[in-house]
Amino acid sequence: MRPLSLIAILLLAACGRKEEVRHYKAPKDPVWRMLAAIVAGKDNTWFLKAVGPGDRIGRHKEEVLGYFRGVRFEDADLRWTLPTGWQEEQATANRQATLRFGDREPRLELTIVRLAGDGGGLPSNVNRWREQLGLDRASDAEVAVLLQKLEGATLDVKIVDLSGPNRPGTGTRPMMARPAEAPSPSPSDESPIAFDLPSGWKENPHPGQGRKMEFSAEGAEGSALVTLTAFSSDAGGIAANIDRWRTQVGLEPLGDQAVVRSATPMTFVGTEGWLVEAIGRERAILGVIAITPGASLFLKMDGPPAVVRAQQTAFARFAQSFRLRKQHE
Amino acid sequence: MNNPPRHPVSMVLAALGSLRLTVALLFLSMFLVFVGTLAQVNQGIWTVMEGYFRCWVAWLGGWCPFPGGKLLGTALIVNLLVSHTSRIRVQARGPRLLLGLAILSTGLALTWVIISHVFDVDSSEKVINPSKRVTLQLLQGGAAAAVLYVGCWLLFRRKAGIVLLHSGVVILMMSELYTSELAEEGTMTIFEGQSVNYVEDNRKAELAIIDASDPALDDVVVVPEKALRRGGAVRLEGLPFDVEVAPGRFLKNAGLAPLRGETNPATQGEGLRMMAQTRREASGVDTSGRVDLPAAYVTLKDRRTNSDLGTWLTSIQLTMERGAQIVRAGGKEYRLLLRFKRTYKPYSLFLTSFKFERYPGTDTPKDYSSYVKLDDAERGVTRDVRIWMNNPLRYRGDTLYQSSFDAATEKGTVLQVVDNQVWMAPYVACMVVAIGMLGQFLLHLFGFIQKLVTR
Repeated sequence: MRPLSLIAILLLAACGRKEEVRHYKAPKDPVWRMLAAIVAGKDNTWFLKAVGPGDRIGRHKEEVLGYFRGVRFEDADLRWTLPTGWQEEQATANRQATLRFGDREPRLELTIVRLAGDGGGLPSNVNRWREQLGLDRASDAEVAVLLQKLEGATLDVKIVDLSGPNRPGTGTRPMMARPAEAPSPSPSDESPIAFDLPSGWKENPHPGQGRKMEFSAEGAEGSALVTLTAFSSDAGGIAANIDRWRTQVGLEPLGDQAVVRSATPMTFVGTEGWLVEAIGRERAILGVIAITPGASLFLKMDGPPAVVRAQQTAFARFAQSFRLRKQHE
Repeated sequence: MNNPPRHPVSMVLAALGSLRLTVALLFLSMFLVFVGTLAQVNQGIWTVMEGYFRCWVAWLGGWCPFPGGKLLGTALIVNLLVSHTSRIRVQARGPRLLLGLAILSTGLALTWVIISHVFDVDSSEKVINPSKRVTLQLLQGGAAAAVLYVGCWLLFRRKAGIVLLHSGVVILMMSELYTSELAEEGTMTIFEGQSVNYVEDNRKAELAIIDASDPALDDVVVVPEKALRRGGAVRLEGLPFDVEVAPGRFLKNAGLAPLRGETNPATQGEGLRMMAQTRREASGVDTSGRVDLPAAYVTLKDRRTNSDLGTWLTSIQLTMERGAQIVRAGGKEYRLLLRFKRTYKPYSLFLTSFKFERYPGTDTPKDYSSYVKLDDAERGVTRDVRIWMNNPLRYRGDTLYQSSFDAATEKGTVLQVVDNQVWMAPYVACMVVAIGMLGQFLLHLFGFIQKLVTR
């Protein structure tokens, strides 16, 4: 035994374990870094993000900036030349591309997401990333300082370099990324999600089985049911769920084209989501689907077509108002 | 005829080694276990461990003093040793005595070596089937116990088994005493692509004040939870200020709530916008596995001018959600945060990948594994290791078990890290007791058979 002291334990126990103030030098806590570029096109905006441990992103910063400098437009779409050693993975519903780079496993990831229009604007996106990294929100003026024009780039590329204690995607600091030990909500703050309920809508305090929230929207022709459900998997993916909704209202499934032809990108609870519209003759569904690795959220309005059409704007605003609750809310 | 007066020392020894005392101590221990178990309805398991078992005096219901687990255990050890010394005599002379002592010494040395896990190969070098590993550990303990039994047989003859099995009980109690005093336990949370070299003990908090001005290393001062709970002023050497906690300003489990006109002790930082609200401690019967998130209002005082630098609300929940708060003093910036007690390790683990398998069609975990790279610059060790359920990594006296994972991303692992130098002692103690009982049983069996044969 290293402390040669089994016999001396009694003495030790008699003294009790001393816990005193300690003063020491320690290595710096690991930080997560996001090196992102924003490229505005005519109808879309592209968001390119390299995320990883601070030191690893730092080692590859010039390589990533070099890649950002080389992006270009072809047929109104963003194109690029893959640097040596980089790999490109197949596009998914959420991402135009995922690139892998770096000299050791697991390789670092650079994601490319295309959103319609300005994609929600620069300040809101930068602040969303800041929150993901565990940083405070910045004012518009501060965001303007954080965003820098990338010199030597083919296009007008704005870059932002952020570092924070949280790994984006977890929502908690590493020390608490343990599901069984998450802080318990206070009685007045049971849901981690906040939203603005449209006027005339009612929340059902006892949602049905499997539902996180339930609301009703009344109209002249009846009422529509609005539900929020969550799964700890991708629940089949975006295209399969869009087609499921389409089939439910009597429309033809669209297969792999479902996302492209019937969904509009939007930000939902701080992540990339898709607004879906499926209006049948007797039944209509409006929905928002957001899928992140290991989780998916579905916000759905289901009701008679006339009621759903009348609530279309309210539903879109309602979906946009969903956000993670802050402590002071 | 009057008995000659007994020597006072003999009287004390007789009392200490009396069987009545044994029965009384066992009864008190049973009662303590009973009330300690009941206490877990309202209190956390570790609060009960510290307040009932790992203490000299337990305050039942917060007011009634009762011998604590440490006191009862120590008394039982003393009672056992004294009663054996006074009642069991060495029944060997001459060469038999010498041989017995030699073999007993060998057995003790072997027991020591096994408990010191000299035979335990660094598990990162080879993978052993869990059942084989446990069998091997029991065989090691059994080998030591067998040698001890031979020594005891030569010295104590028919009472060899009794001596041995009680020795096993003593080993078990001593190992628990050691564990309670010196063992450390915590968790290491690592995300893929990240390297971590510290563990956090979520049963204890500490107030950390960090000077991060040096680009290479942080200068850290930590105040343990005990000092915060005790309250009063705590001197912080190396810093231009001291910290003070007013009575009742340390909360074992607290949530945060926005201020709506309530009076709040905080005069600086996040405490100007929110306050700590006491929550019920996570009880020992809570099956959700929640942990307590302590909070404390701490007042910082400039040591030179004795001026007040403000009262700050610190809380683990606040640290998780908003990070550290900045304190400016002596021309420097310091990061102030309440966090779980942190212990740095001389090695680091880099998580290469985390694999999680479910039973098909369900969310029920089937198996999860962490593929890590062990890096120990001090010893020049760099090695790929897989840690998975029932297959811990043992390295430098630490045992690292696969404990949990980050459910949100499934890209992060949580390893339970246990630093307990005497983890082998219970295995050895069990085998010592088993061999002692078996020896005693066989002795009586042979005696009985011999009598039958003689008749």
